[in-house]
Amino acid sequence: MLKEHEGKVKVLAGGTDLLPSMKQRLFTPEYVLDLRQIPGLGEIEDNFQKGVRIGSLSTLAAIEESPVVKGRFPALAEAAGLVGATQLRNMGTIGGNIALETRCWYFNQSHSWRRSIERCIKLGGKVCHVVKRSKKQCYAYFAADTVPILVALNAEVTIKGNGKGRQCLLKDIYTQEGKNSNTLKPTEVISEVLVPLPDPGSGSSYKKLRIREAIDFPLVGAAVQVVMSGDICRDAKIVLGAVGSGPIEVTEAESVLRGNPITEELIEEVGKISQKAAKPMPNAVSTPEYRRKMAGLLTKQALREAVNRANILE
Amino acid sequence: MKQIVELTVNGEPYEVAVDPHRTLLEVLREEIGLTGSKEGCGLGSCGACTVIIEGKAVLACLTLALTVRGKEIRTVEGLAKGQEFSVLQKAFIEHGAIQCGFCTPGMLMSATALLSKNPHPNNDEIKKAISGNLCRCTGYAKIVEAIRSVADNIQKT
Amino acid sequence: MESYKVIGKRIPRTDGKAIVTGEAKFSDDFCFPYMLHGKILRSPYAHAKIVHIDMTRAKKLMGVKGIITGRDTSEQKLGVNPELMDRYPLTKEKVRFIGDEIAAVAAIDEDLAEEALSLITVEYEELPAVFTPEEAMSGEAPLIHGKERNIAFHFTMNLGNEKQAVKKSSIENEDSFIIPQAANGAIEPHCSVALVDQDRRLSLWSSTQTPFMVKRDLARTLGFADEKVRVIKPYLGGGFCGKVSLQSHEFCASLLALKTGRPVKLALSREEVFVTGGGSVPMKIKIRVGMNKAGKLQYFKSKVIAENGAYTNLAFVPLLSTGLYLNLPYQIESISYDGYLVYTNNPPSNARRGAGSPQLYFALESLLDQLAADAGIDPFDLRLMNSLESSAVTISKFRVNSCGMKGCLTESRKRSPLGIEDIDSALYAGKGLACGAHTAAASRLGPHDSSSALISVEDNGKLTLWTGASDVGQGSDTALCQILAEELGINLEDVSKVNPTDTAIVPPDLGTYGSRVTFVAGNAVRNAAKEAKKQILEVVAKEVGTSLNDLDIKENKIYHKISGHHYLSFAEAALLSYKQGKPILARGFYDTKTEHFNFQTGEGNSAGAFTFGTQVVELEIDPGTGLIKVKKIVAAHDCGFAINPMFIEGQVEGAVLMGMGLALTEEMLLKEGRVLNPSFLEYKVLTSMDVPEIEAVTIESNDPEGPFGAKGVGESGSIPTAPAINNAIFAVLKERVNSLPLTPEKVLKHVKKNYVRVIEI
Repeated sequence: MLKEHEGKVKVLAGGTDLLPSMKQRLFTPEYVLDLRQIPGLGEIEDNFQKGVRIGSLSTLAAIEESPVVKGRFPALAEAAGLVGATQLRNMGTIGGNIALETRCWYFNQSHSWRRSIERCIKLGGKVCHVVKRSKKQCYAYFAADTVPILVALNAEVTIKGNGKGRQCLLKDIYTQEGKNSNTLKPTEVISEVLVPLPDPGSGSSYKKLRIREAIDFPLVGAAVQVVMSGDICRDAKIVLGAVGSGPIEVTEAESVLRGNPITEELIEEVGKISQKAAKPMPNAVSTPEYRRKMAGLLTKQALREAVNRANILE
Repeated sequence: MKQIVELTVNGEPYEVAVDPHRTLLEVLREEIGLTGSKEGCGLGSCGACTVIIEGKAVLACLTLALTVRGKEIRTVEGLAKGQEFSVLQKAFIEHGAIQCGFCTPGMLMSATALLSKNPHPNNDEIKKAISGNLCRCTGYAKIVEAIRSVADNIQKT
Repeated sequence: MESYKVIGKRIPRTDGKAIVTGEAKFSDDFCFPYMLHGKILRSPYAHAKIVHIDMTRAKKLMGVKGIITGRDTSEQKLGVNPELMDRYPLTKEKVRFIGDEIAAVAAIDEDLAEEALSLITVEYEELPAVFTPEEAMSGEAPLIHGKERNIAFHFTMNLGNEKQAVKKSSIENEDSFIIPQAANGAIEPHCSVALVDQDRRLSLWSSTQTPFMVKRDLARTLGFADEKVRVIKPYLGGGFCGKVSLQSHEFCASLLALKTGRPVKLALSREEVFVTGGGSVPMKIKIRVGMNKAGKLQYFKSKVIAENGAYTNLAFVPLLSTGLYLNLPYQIESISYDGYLVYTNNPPSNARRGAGSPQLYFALESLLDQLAADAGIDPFDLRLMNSLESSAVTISKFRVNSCGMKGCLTESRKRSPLGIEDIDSALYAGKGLACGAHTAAASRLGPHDSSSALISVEDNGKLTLWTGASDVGQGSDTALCQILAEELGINLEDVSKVNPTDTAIVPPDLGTYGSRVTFVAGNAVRNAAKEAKKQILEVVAKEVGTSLNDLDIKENKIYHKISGHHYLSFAEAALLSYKQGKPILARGFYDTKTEHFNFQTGEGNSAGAFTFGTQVVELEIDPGTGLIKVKKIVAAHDCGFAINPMFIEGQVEGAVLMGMGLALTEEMLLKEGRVLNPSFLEYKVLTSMDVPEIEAVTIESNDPEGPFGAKGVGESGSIPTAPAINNAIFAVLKERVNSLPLTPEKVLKHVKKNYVRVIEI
């Protein structure tokens, strides 16, 4: 069906992202495909050695409350629980959060509001109202709360479409560009997420900064997973959210940690690297400078908590 | 083009003809005439349109009407059984949890959904359950008090 | 101490049932057969001449039944101040802000109305625009309304002897404060439904706080006779000053209904409400205070630049407040004030709960806190030694008949004292206090400041109260019935109030604004009750052969005051009145004992009563992020007498949260005339997860003029919060952040660089 009406159809899961966009005439599809009619996409299954399989239509509330997820990946359950507010979590799905449209002051506005400005790059126009000199690149930011932690947990996604399926690391579907921010084709849908069993000695954490304690998207998000062997950090994943057009993996900070004991000095260094890696733009509340600083701070906080959790589990 | 769909609202079947892009909120208010659920923003950020679908509190303004055929939909009009008000409705009145009343239907639905799942929530859980319902008049204090009073009084089974 | 039967009691709202069942109808809940939907075409330019409007394509669209533009309207303008009426319901030659109303369409459904808007072609000639008051006043900016330097209104006030006061001041300090625009944020968007009957009489259901004002202005702007216009205010989902006087959408719905002959509903979207509903007036306040060594305040000197935006709504009222309320709540020898209300091409500002007082006291109370620190005086003591007391007359000639300021200070201090032990810099926790004052009975804006009430009694003793007073959620309908029942000595259950407020049915009342209902309408109702009591006692006196003065009513029974003998029940007396041919029909009226305020000097007792309040805020600062976590607010506010203590608490709790929003999270972000955050997602109204513990304390100063001593308190709670938070931040960081909102980013700049790292964990 997606193929048949390609270009004129949008997929619908929870509706919490698509419907506001449609009401604001950001998208005006002729058809909407309700994925919730497809059975089996809403399950959360403990696959033991393989990890946890989460159907793409699992609601964020279900993930937040799932004993399987809470037991294996508490940081993921917490991240899901930080999205929006109660009603939004009852409706919103993990697939929807993964495929969340990037956001910007000048994009997420009604049709009538946007009449007073030139059409921007994300909408097929030629200007960016945020970065004036940009001719082609869109700087809309990616604000999904569950994605940084999923990437830090090495999650994989299964994508189906056109009668075929493909599997890849979740991280690889993001383009880091604001207009077409993921590699999903119009004929494809995410069918499930597989979060692999973490190595022994793992601990993870997700920190979200926002002005209000409900409803708001993150101003900054930082997810960390560490694998500890005693004092030594065997592996680390550090991923930032809301400070770029996709989740940003801070590989430089990861290599600084790998193979070393995690001292306060090292944590400070990681914070500084993370701060530099963040690329927030002036298209959300608070200045980019503040959000960069907070990216550093949240990384340190997430790192300390991840290490604590790893130590407790040992 | 309009489609005919049967919606089950507060236990009653309603057959309506709707365009695919109409939301449940619009259909409830304009086709069925149940104006208790309110539109405060239309974009899912205020909770005034909260209804309960299959036991969960959801936003009617972001729900396409055609997608909820065959599902149990409850609105504020369905809380009372005739003249017998629900304990929550009574508590809201008694505790002064109502000022302008515009957020009240949405609050009642979020609170009803909470108490059916968790009859003895603590204050943090109550505040979390209504975290998507904005109120500009009460400062939430007496709303939390009203829900708390019901939570404290529900017979522990 | 009187023991009352009905007032002073925590009685739930009498109309609660309608609300919890969803039956209560708000404006958007009204639907009529054959009804059309209206939409407004708005300017995409901040400043431009309208060269030509082409409606041909829109008119041809099937389903479009009517289109109006500025050409279809008269020369009558909108506004409450005759000197400042600068806005047509649909603009005529120029657009002055992004969102300015140009045309309106009525079609058979909303989608078609939207489509019709997109088919109206407007040719503009863009003009240079100006977006800050400073630029607008510079003398080099384009003139928005042809007024010199774009100054809409200039108010100066020089009271007392400044030279002398300065001489007596050994401690002086001054500072500047910035307050941006904060939205009213009522959860119900504005909506009106207009209907014209076969006699060409117009009925308008509208979400308004002032149905009689709207009726008057509709008649005027439509060129209709007054009696041909009827405005009905159904349940209102909050106002906070955002729904006062005739609005463009009300006019458009009405004119479209007249033109099409069909009912027209015009509902504003949330975005339209944010852009055109206005909010608090953005201000820059520079203030200087002098006091003597002992801590006695000597003078206030203040300059205010306030931004009107493109047109004048209510913004002149907040500007006046920032000058006039320098007279409250302290004794002061001299006030000199210079305030400007300036046009810009930003959306028009309005008034938000507290109308100027939140801005004023943010500045004044922050500066007083600094002075207390400079002089080494306890902040509570400083306020106490300077507070006004009941019966005070200020240098502006305000007659402060009742003043609970000292009570507010003492009670809040008792519950939340300050002390060195409370300030724990290692944990970045601290406390701050602030005071505030405001009118408790609106202000005399026109020839009278009144309310009227009627009471009719049925033959079974049930009473109906008719009043133009509008309940906007504060519970005034119930409170007014309580006043009636108490005065008359009957059960509250026997009283019902006519609802909704329908100008064709109820007697006039100016509306709900400036916290006036309890005091003004309350007195009118009480006067009507007194008259009803007299009438029914006359009936009984005649029947039983005794003097009217020997009788009284208590617990629904008429009895002899001296012997205690019960003659008749109220119901029996009511039936008797019918048999005698004299059914009870009583009227009451009340006009505040105020005078017109003198715009030249600033003198005049323009408000019937004043309210006062103190708040103590306890908070923690996250030294990593700068986020403020408010733990507890003790809010003591003077309501004269609590007719219904539960309602008073509710009002204060809600107002405190609005004050907290102004302090911490609320700001309309404007860029080049565009509101960047016109949604509840990006404009941060506090949620249930953000609330602190709020302890509302009711202070009763027993106003001699108020009904049973009561006066308004609806706005009081929104005033001291922002300065109290600012002062608590100062207690912790020893630095002030003088621009609202106190965002984490701003606060973080003042956190010492070497904070204790253990906090991060």
